[in-house]
Amino acid sequence: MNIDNKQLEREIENAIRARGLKEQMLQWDKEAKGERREVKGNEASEQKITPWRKIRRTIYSLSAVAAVAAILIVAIPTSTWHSTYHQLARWGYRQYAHFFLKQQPKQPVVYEHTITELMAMAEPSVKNIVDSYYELEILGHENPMNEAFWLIIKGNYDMAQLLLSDAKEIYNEPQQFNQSILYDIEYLEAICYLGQNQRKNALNRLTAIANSDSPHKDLAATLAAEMK
Amino acid sequence: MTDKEIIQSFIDNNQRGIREVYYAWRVPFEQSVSYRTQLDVDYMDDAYQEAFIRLQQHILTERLTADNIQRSLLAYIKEIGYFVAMEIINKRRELPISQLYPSTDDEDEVQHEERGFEYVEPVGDSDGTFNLSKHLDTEEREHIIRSLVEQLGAPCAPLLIGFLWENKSMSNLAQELGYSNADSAKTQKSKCMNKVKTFVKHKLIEYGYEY
Repeated sequence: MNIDNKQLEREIENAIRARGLKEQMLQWDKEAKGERREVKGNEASEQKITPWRKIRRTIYSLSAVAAVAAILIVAIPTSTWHSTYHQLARWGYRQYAHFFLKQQPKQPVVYEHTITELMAMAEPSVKNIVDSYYELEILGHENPMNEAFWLIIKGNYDMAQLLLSDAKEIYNEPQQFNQSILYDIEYLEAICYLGQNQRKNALNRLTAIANSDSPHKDLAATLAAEMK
Repeated sequence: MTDKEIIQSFIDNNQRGIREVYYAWRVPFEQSVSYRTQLDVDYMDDAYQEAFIRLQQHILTERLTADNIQRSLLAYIKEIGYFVAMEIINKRRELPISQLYPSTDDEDEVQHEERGFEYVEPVGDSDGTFNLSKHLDTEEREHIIRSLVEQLGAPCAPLLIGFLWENKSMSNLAQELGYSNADSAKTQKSKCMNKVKTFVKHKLIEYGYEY
């Protein structure tokens, strides 16, 4: 079969365009595979998860958790929650003690004097302090120390301690009169610890007072010595 | 894009348009070919690209035009894909020619219509008959020329492909490929074209074509 020159040239040009197309198709396939790899490999980021989608995901997750929690709270009685909580707390404390405290079995401690005896020893000094304020009438009616004294006399030491703590705030500014009251407050706080059977705290406070310039240091030292 | 726009894209070397259909047709092509021929997936890319190139050649040689197209281009390329797949599977030279190309018997034409296939008739057959040997010569010759052009290297390949496929101007090609100016690139292009023609002519004579 004869082929003319023009026809041959056209066919060669078509063949060159075919080769160009072939090379281009290979390039397109590479680009398409590269894009698919990026999409797969970066689901959250390359896939361009917008900030709004992230927020939406978080909101959905939190809503689901909140819904489950609400159902549980409504369905389970309060008493069950309380008992479960206390059981967990006890269990947690036992584990803590087992692993961290490594406590020896507690031996019952024998003191020379009971709390009642120690309070009886401290009573005269407490009465002196309280009477001195009443006699001098130096405290205003609103002063918490008035009520604190009354509570100490009644034996309500924990409430008295709270009020003494409030009184400390009032008299914390550096004045001689204030310092005198502060010494009294510190001593009475130590007595309150003793009244609450908090021997260790009471002993620490009394020891500190005994080593200070407090007018009650001798009393404190005596009591501290009796607390063996 | 419409089929006419797609055909025009091939004629104009509109790469954006061609890429659009290249991506769009891949899945339906693979589904059709896979279903009809059981072609191994490893060869699907080759089959698709070969079918695409043949479609381009049919358009460039005006065997397929915007006026004579009777079915969708997608259906057309699926049919090309069927034959390409059969060639790959059966190693073309071992397969009888009658099984490679459609027959001219009426009975088979009915089958073609049922299948919805519209194969392109070669240009020049005014009596409406299908000239198998002429068609075979054209396809074979194109195949031979393409395989020869595949072997082209630098400096001719980038220059000719850049000009004929990428539609780059001579001045752009001169700049990209390091020629002193557009005229130098043009001179080189002419030399390359003559070399390729000489090379192809010699090879076609070996294959039995007369020049």
